[in-house]
Amino acid sequence: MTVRQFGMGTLIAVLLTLAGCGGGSSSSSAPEATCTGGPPAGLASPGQYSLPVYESTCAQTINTPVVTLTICVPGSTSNCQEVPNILLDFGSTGLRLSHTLSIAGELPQETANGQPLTECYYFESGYNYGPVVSATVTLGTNHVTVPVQISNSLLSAPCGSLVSPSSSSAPFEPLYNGILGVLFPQYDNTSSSAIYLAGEQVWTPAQNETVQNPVYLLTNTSNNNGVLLSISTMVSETTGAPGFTGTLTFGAPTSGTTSLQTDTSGEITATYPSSGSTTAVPAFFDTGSNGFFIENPDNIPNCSGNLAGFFCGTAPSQSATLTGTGTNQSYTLTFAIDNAQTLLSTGNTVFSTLGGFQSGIFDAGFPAFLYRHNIGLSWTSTCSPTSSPGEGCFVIQ
Amino acid sequence: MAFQIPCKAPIAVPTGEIRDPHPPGSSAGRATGRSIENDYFSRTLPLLRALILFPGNRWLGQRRHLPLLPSSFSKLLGALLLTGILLASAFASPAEAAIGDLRPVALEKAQAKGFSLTRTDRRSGYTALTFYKTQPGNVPGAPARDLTVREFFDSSGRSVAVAWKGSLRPDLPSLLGDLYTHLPAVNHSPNRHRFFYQDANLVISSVGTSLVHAGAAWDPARLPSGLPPSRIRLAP
Repeated sequence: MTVRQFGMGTLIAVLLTLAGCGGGSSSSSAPEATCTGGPPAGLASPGQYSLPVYESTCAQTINTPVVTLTICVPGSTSNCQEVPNILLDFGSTGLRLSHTLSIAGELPQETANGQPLTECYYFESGYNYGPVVSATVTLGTNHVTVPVQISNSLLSAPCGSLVSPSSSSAPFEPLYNGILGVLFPQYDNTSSSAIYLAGEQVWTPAQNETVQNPVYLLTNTSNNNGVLLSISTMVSETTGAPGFTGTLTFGAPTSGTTSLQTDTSGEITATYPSSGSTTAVPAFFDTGSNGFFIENPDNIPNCSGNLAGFFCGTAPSQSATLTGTGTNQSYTLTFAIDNAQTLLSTGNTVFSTLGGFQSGIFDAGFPAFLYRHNIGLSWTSTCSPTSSPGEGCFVIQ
Repeated sequence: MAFQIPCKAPIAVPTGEIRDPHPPGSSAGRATGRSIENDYFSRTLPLLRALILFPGNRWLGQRRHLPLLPSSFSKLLGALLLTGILLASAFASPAEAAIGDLRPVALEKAQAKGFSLTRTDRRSGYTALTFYKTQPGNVPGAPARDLTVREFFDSSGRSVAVAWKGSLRPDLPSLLGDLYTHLPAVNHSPNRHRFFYQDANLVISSVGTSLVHAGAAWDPARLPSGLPPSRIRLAP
């Protein structure tokens, strides 16, 4: 810090006994609010290789697809908790759970180099820090035991001072009970989004201690190579819907599909608008983004105030050409953008037309999954011909 | 978080240099193109603002600026802040990182971070430098990771905006400089793969999965007329 900032900061901190410097997460003084919502009434039971997906029942969420998972202490069939409102995330890898869940304190801590193993995991919105534990997770009717991160925003986190620090801590509470990241590759530290520590030392854990996509651990080889999200609910482009029901199926879809192979950064490209002569930009599908975050060739008005970052105008009949790295791999995605203020004033929580401006990328967020096609991720050998981690396919059915 | 006073560790200014093929002739070495008054307010107001802000609209992961304090407490705080301003203004120091940097300083810092200058675009009202960095994967078997950063300088040679894209996470303290302190210490966002924040001197908008990151940040008070936010991107 500069001398000037130090002078001012110290003065204020001392006189008002407010929290100090450094982006720490230990300055919270208010009690933590948690998500109190349960699964919606009438939710379907899991299939052998599928899970029902629903709109989050945590307060103040929109366009947030979630699942319910049964989490058990490894080796126990009774020390378990059924945890609703776990974000189904196509944009990250591995299962992470809130420290506020009762089961979180029961799960055995992983150790490395004789020290507790902890992890900083960086989402675009901020980091999560906490211990790496072992849990048995029920996927459909199958049990897999997998390293899981506990996100504990009350711990003093080193994440703000490691390489390429994130700006902010992004606690799960009260918005999620957990995040189920089903993106390839298997291990979360093959990207630059994870840093592990053994005690206070930056560490590369053994693979069996690394937080990972639990779908890879299913033993049936036709179910451990991808996922497919199907949502059948009709969602009005102008008013949205109060909720949705869908299904997450384990296994890469094999019929009636368009596969768009990614590069080793999990990206395809988009030409948007599809008819334009614009330069292609990186693209991906992501259930963990609550809108389309895209370029703005039609000059849709941006919202101001509380909704800044979203579009507050309408743009019907949009289309983007999505292109994979393989031969002749393209798909024309059609969608629409509507006014965020108008949409949110309906009181609904699911919107197929919510979006915002972002230069240089095409983020086909959760609204893209509401146009009655199924969208999945695949990491079959066809989709990862060079076996490079980070390479896979987006699959549209 | 109830309140957080933002501050950050010093960033050492490296001594190496990258050859800039088009150095801005008139601005190199000049401390600032702004008046002392402007500099004074742009450096103190962010701190004041940060003290009275509180995360707002949790629906959308945006930030609503709410003064939360009762009026008597506000007055006390106001008096203390005024005292702070007066004291703080006695300890002025130059800007120390990217947005706000003069071009030679930005080049030095980019090199120190392992970036190479790959492209220079001179446009009406601004000049954009593109930097690129690649490094081996962080675990055995992981592919190389990279990051492209494009930094925009106004006609006085001062950085006003950056855009980035790559599989490496961007180093926000380096890219944002003093503006980094504007960002919330805690972000209650339901939008895991989108970050958006704006105030009078900083807009940051980014998107990313765990594998790819893209974003842009700028000082809206300083954008030259030829550089609208839609041009703050990697594509020339």
